Amino acid sequence: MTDVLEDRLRQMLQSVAATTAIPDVPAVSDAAGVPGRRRRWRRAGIAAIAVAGLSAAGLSAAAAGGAFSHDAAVAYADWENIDPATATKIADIPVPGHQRLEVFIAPESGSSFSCIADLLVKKHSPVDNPDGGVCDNFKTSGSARNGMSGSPPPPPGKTQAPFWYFTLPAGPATASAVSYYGGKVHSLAVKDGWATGWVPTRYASDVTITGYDSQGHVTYQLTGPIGS
Amino acid sequence: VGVSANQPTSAEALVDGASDVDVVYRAQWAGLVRLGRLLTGSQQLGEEVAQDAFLGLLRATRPIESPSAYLRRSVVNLAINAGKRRSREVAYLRRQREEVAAPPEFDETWQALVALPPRQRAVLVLRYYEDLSEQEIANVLGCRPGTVKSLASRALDHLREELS
Repeated sequence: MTDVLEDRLRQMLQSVAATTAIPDVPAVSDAAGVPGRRRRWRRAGIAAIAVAGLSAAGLSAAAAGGAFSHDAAVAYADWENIDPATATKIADIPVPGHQRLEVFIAPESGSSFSCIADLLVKKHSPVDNPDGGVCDNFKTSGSARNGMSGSPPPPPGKTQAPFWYFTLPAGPATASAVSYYGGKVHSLAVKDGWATGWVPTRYASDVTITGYDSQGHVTYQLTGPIGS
Repeated sequence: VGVSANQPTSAEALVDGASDVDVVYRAQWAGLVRLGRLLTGSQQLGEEVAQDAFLGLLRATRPIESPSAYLRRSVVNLAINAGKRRSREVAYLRRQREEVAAPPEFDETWQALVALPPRQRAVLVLRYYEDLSEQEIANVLGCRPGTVKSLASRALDHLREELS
């Protein structure tokens, strides 16, 4: 039986398909050389937009201590080929809503990849287990543009999460900052070659993330939206 | 020397002949991205599942009789898993913004569809976009036709409720 809803569905699906951007076909050599899962062929670019001045304000990283096996186990609960006991906590920062964001990395068995997973914690209890994340050979192919981002679930009655968070390989950077609309600049947590931070959703569409080495030289600079 | 999308192939054969890979890839790429987007509700995630599906084809150790069917099934399953995991790793920091129109977020039918559970959404996409029969959808999802019927019924009921 065909009814109005089914007709609308067909029409809508065709419409969405027609507006889908079709990126260039990724190079076959890229695909053939990828040994693990969730390797990403990003067309991400680096825009050379200078950030004038840097004031470390806002985000302050809590000391990222050793891995808590319980939290790592929760973060990797649905992952295959990951032993949470091998996870290392690479970030533990305060985020809005009296929560903390914990980020872990662990080697994927049977590959040269490592996998990042995150966990939102409130009062020592996980409140959101995204069990999403990303695996990559960060040591060799990772760059600052090859990270992950996420957001908590929208509050009841809302359609948008209040903020987006992100983690990216920081390379040699010893400090990093995110800047966005209105000239706001916030420092990121940098630990063991990773930079982690968050931005309010209303500003996430256009941010600049900059890394600095110990001499204050810019090591990377990325501009664009965070999140989908 | 290309292979048709339906010619049996294997990872070795594909890797040995880059042009063969190109043929399959170029033939399937756009359709896989569109299907991935419809299934995930996300342009970025749609691209990812299309890429991952092709990686699966490359890594296949056994001959694959129908690469096109294999790729479609992979995209569907990857999209369902992505939805289950709420995999929120997304491309970020893209220099190029999408040049096409933004997703029709104003379309209440689209909004309601992407809010469905992944398997229900997949059934509707396969039925109303791919025009697959219940049996064909069951083959893709690896379930019985009765399950497909049930999923479709629940999904449509939910949409009617949401859109009424």
